[in-house]
Parts: sequence; C-alpha cells; structure tokens
Amino acid sequence: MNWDMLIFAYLAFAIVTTSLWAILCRNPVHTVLLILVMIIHQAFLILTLGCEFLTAVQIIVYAGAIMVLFLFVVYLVNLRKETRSSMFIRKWALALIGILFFAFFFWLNINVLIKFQVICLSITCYSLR
Amino acid sequence: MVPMNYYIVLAFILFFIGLMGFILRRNLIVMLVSIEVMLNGIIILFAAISHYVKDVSGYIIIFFVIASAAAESAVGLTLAVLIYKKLKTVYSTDINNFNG
Amino acid sequence: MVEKGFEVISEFNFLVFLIPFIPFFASMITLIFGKKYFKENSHWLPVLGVFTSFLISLKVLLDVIHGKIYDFDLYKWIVAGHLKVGLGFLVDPLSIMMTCMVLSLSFLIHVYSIGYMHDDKGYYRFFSYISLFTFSMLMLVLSNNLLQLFLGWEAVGLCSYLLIGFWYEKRSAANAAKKAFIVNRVGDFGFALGVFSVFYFIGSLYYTDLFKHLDLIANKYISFWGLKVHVPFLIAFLLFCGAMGKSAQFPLHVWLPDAMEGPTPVSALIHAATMVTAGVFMVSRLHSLFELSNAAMAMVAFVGAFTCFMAGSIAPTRFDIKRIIAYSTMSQLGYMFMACGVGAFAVGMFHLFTHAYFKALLFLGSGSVIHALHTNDIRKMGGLKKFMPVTYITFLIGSLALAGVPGFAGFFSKDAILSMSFFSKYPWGKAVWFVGLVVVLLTSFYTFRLIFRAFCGEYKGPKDHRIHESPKVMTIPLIILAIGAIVTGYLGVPEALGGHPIFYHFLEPVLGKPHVVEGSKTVEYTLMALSVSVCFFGIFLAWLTYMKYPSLQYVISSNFRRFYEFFYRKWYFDEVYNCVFVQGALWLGKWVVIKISDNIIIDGAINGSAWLVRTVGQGLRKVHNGIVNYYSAFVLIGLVIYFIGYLILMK
Repeated sequence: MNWDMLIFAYLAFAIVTTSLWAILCRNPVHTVLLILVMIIHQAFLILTLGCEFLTAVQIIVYAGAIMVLFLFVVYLVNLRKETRSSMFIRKWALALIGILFFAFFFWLNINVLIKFQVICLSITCYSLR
Repeated sequence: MVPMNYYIVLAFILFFIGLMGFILRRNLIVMLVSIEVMLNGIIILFAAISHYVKDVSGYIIIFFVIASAAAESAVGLTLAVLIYKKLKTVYSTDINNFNG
Repeated sequence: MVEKGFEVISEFNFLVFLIPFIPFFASMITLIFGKKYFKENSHWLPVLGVFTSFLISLKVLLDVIHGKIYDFDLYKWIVAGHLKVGLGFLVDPLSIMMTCMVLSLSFLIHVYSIGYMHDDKGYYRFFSYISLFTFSMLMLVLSNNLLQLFLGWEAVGLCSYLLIGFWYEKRSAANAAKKAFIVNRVGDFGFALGVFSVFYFIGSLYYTDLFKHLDLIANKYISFWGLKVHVPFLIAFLLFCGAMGKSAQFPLHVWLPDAMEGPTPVSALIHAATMVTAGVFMVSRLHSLFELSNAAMAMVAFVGAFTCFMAGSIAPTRFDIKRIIAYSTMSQLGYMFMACGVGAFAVGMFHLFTHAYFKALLFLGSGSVIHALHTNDIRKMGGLKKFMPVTYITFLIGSLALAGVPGFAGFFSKDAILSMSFFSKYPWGKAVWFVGLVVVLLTSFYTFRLIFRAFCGEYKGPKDHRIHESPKVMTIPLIILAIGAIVTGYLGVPEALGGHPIFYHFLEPVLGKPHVVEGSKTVEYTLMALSVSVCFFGIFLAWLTYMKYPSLQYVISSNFRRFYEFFYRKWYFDEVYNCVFVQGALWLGKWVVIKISDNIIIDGAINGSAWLVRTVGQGLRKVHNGIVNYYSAFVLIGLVIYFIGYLILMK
C-alpha cells in the first residue's frame, strides 16, 4: 500500500460521496456547499496528476466564483427546504436504470468498478424497498 | 502509480452521478448544480488521459471546459432567477407553460 | 333429331314471330294504360291478343303437320368471344304442340278470369300479368337455344311470383310468393350451372349444335374433387335441378301448395298446366342428352316416383280444396317424370297434354265453387250438386279423367305410362310401374273424397249463404275444358286397343321411339285391367269412407295417430326446411353478417382506427409536457440507443 493509492482512494471516495449526497440532499444550501467540498477534492486530485496550475484555476474559478454565484441565486429565489419527496422518478424506473448502469459497468469489465456496481445495486434496492 | 483505469472509472462515475441528478431532481438550481458535477467529471477524465498519454492537449481542453462551465452556469442561473421572477417557482414540474 | 322428311326453314317468319309477341305487347299496353284508361275493359286487349296468337299457332301447326320446321334467329343477342347466342325460334312438332296447348288454355283462362276477377281492384294488373306469363311460356317453348329457354324459365318464375302474390296486402300470399321464388331460384342455380357446363363441354348453346355434338361428351369423364364424374350425368343432373324446382318435385316441392294463395285462374294456368310442365318439356327437349347417361334416367325416374307417392299420400289429408288439387298436380308431374325416366318421352308429353286440360278444369271448377261460397275448406262444403249443376258435372268429368277411368283422357295417358314403364328396357321399369299402380289407387281415392265431400251429401256450411251457379263467362270455359278432357285422350289411343296414336307419331321425329321390349298382348291387357280395377277400387273406397260409413274417416287418424300425423304434416318437410335452411340462414345472418362482419370487423376497423389514433395521441401527449427532466431523459435514451446501434454496426 503506497501513498499514491491511499491518497487517490481517499480523494475518490470523497468526491463520489459528496456528489452523491449533494444531489440527494433536500436543502439546496447543503447541496451547494457539498459541491464546494467536491470541487476542492477534485482540485487536489488534479494536483496528484501533476498539474498545479489547473488546480489553482479550478479553485479560483469554480469554487470561488461559480459556487458563490450559485449561493447568491439560492438566496435570491428564497429556496427553502423541500417538503416533497426529492425523487422524481417512479421506483420501478429507478430500479431499471440502476440495473442498466450495473449492466453497463459490468460490460466495461473494469475491476475497480465493483465499487460503483455496488452503488448501483444499492440504489436499486433502495428504490425497490 | 495509480493505474489510468481508476481515474477513468472515477470520471465515469462522477459523470453518471451528475446525469442522474440532472434527470431526477425537479429543483432548477440543483439541476444546474448537477450539470457542474457532470462537467467536473469530464475535467477529471481529460486530466487523467492527458497525464498518462503525456500529451498537453488534454489540459488545454480543460481550460475551455472550465470557461464554458462558468459561462453556462451564469446564464443558467440568470434564467432561473428570471423564471422565479415570472412564475414564482423553480420547480420544473410547475414550469410547464410549453406543454403540448 | 329431325327426320329427313322435314324441310327446315331458316329465315325470319313473321307469323312465328307474332305468336309470343302479341301477348307481350297486349300485356305491356294493359299494364301502362290499364289503370287510368281501360279500367274495367282491361280484359279486351289481352283476350283478343291471346286468341289471335292461338289462331296463328293453329295455322303454324298445320304447317308443321305438312312437314315444315322453322329454325331461325331473330337477332344476335350475345356475341362474346366463343359465345354466340341469338334470340330465336325453333318450331318443330314438340314445341308447336306445347304452344297450341299453352295458348288454348291461356285463352280459356283469360275468359274465365273476366268473371272470376270481376270486382278486384287490380283487374288490369291481373290481365297484364297473365299475358306476360303467356309470353314468357311461349318464349321458353319456342326457343332454339338453352339460354333463351333459361330466359323464359326465369320469366315464368317472375310471373309466378307476381301472380301468387297478386293480393300482396295479404301476408300469407306475399310469403308464399317469396317462398315460390326462392325455392325456384335454388333450382335455377343448378340450371344455370348446367347451361354453363353445356357451353363449356360443347361450345354452343343451340339445340341443333348440341344434338350434333353429343358424341363429344358421350364418354367423357371429369374428375371432381377426387371422383370421376360422367359428364352427361353431370349436365343432366344440373339441368334437372332446375326441373325439380320448376316442376315441384322432391326436394324442391315445398312451394307448390303454398302457391295456392294466388287467385284460382293463376293456379289453373301456371301451377297446373304450363309453368310446372316446363320441367318436363325441358327434359323431353334434351332427351338425347339424358339418354346418354343411365344414372340420369334413373335419377329422373326415382325422383318422379318418389314425388308421385309422397304427394299422393299427403293429398288425402288436406282440407283445402285447392291444395288437394295442388298435391294432385305434384303427383301427376311425378308420373310424367317417371315416363321420361324409363325412356318414353312421348308418353310423358302426352300425359302432360291431357293433364293440362283436366287439371285446369279441376282448378277452374274449384274456383267456381270458391267464388260461390267464399271459402276453400271442404269441411264447410257439401251437397253442392244441386246448387251448381254445371260446375258439378264438369268437375266430375275432370275427376274421372284424373282418376283414369276408361273413356276419359287420363286413362289413355296414364295407362300408357304404366305399360311403358313395365315393358321398359331400363331395369327400374318394374319398380316404377309398381309405384305408379299404388298411386292410381291413392289418386282415385283422394279425388273422389273431394267430390263426395264437396258435392254430395249434406251442405255443412253457414246456412245464410245464398249459393248460385257461376256466370256464363266462367262456365263456358269449364264446358270447353270438359270436352277437351275427354277428347284429347283419343289422340293417343294405343295400338293395343286398336287406335292410331297420332300424338306419338306426330312427336316421333323429335322424341324418338320409347325404349321398350316387345311384350305380349295378353300381358298388356292384364296390366290395363289391373290399373282400371285399382282405380275403381279407389273410388269404391272413397264412397265407402265418405258416403256410406262416415265414421270410417276417423279410423286412421284416431288409431294410428303418429302415422297420421306424419302425412298430415306433409312428411315434416316444411319443419325440416325451416329448421335447416331458414333458421340456418337467419343464424348466419345474425352471427356472421351482423355480429361478426358488421359489428366486429367493419365497426371494429373504423372504431378501432379512431381508438388507435386517440390512444397514440394520448400516449404521445405525455411526451410534450413542458418538464425539462423528461426532455433530458429522452435525450439520454436517444443517446443510449445511438450508442448501442453504433456498437452493433461496428461489429
């Protein structure tokens, strides 16, 4: 287990988790903040790829400007916490989509995708419960 | 070194998360946010490929992507604000003036 | 077909042309102008027309006796590829004999109708129709090709429909007319197929060509659904289907009793003497075709014998005076077909000739009775001989002729049939003879049952009715027909009794000699004595049952109830036909036509296409709902499909 792997694992996990949480969140402010976190992690991921400039650009432009813009707009339209269920699509369709993605990643035949396959299956099971 | 596959897989995962967010959420703001997520996934993809193929073109493309993401989110948000001003809502199910 | 002694004239002869067309023009003029202009005088034109035709036909008869035959075409009716048919006339002994008979009877019935239909509001229509009928019958008889025969055939069917349903407001009459036409139509379908097959196998529809080329089909067989069918039998069978329908033989006999709903002159003209004999005429005309196939001759003989017996067994159970005579007609037509079936066509035609006179006489006599009493039921009649003496005497003469008492016409013709069938070369001759003998008994029984119940005994009807003899215009035709019923018999006295049968000699060039083996004279005399004694036994039985011991009538109906019911219900034919054909057609109409093809198929197609459009529209409507998420999902789906398609193509 070398450091590269470890760092990559942490960053990847964080990115996926925060983005997933972000799109499932009911509070829009939470969504934007979580995306902010994701962008910073992503910037560090690009740093591990050896491109410092891009990291800086990412943080300055994306995290600094765009997300702030989003926050301003969220307060401008007075978004409150949603009371309705956030899932728009019916359960069976969601299950179907989960299975489709599972099949797609299976077809891609890449070992590390097992993680995401698990995620897909979990979405399927959640939607079918 | 981390194999290239891992980065590509991560990019795909992020892209699909963003895609699902875009399709499944009704809130306009969150939809725009998920577009950003998608674009971020693309950024990771290009960065990883460009790093492992040792070609600088990937980084250049990333600049363009960031710029376009910024521009498009600005425009999208402006439109969302204007829709809110007109229709008093940002939920896409309530914005169906163009149905039929 | 024609002996060398005749000269054949093939150019247009005006007199022969006039024979059918004078009644036709009389009919058309009466129909068009009768309602407003002629009114009560509508009878003059048809009566004079038919009388003129009759005189012309007598003149042409003299020509034929002197050895001329006319065979010409009026004009080319159909010229289509190989089919060349003209509207033409063939005047040879057979057709001129039929023509004279038809015209004499038609004239007498026209005169009778002046009295019978006197106060009817359709007076002009009646005369127009019976003149039209005369025209149709003459076209049938005088034709020189099968298609014109068929034209006349259909036209007499039409006139029969018009005349049976003459009192169209009466529901039973309208139904009877429909029944007659439809049953006839079934037979005509077979006839049409026969005409088509004649054209197919021989290539021409003219009689002369047909008789010339008979050897083309004499031994031909065609395979039909796996069976080898003898072509002459096929053609004869199909043509005989038409004869069965027209002449009311089994199985297409059911229309004749119901046809008595029409006025009595109609029954006399059409259903006794002329239309129903068209079948026998056709079989005799095409006798050489029928003789080619033994199976066809057997079919004709057996159908005739069966109908003869069946009608003879139903007639004694009837209570309507006209229906008794109708079943008697059916039975006598069976005799004619029996004669044709054993190869004695000239004898069959002779019986047709004599039968026409005495049957028309019987019908007109019954018409006279009906006109006086206004009822058809013989249970309400009795003792009429003192009220209507002329009617009684002529009716008696007709009945004696029908029963076959020696000295009257029926004896000579019927006896000739019986002896010809006994001595016939065909193996079924003896069986046919036996049936004929049994039916002689039945015939005399029911005929004299009618006489005794209607004319003798006590009057059983309503007492306040004043019964009078019919007017002269009705009784004079009766007297003339009675003379005919006696005299026509002497035209064909057989040689065994020492006469010259000029009738048979006259028809010999056309119909040939009968197919008999020579029998000894003693056997012939024995047979004659046997049939005469059977006839008298029948008369005696009728006298016993209805005059001496009236309670004897109820012996069979009370003791053998089932047996009696079978005959009383006309052998259940009407019930069977109703069940199978009428209900079957109604069921077919209700289910197949209305339910399936109308409701399900046609309405389903139209409603279904509307439903399809609406459903697809409703489904597609959901696509355009203005919600962005849906649109993006569709974009994604399209992309996935594109991607998959790309992969497949790359493979």
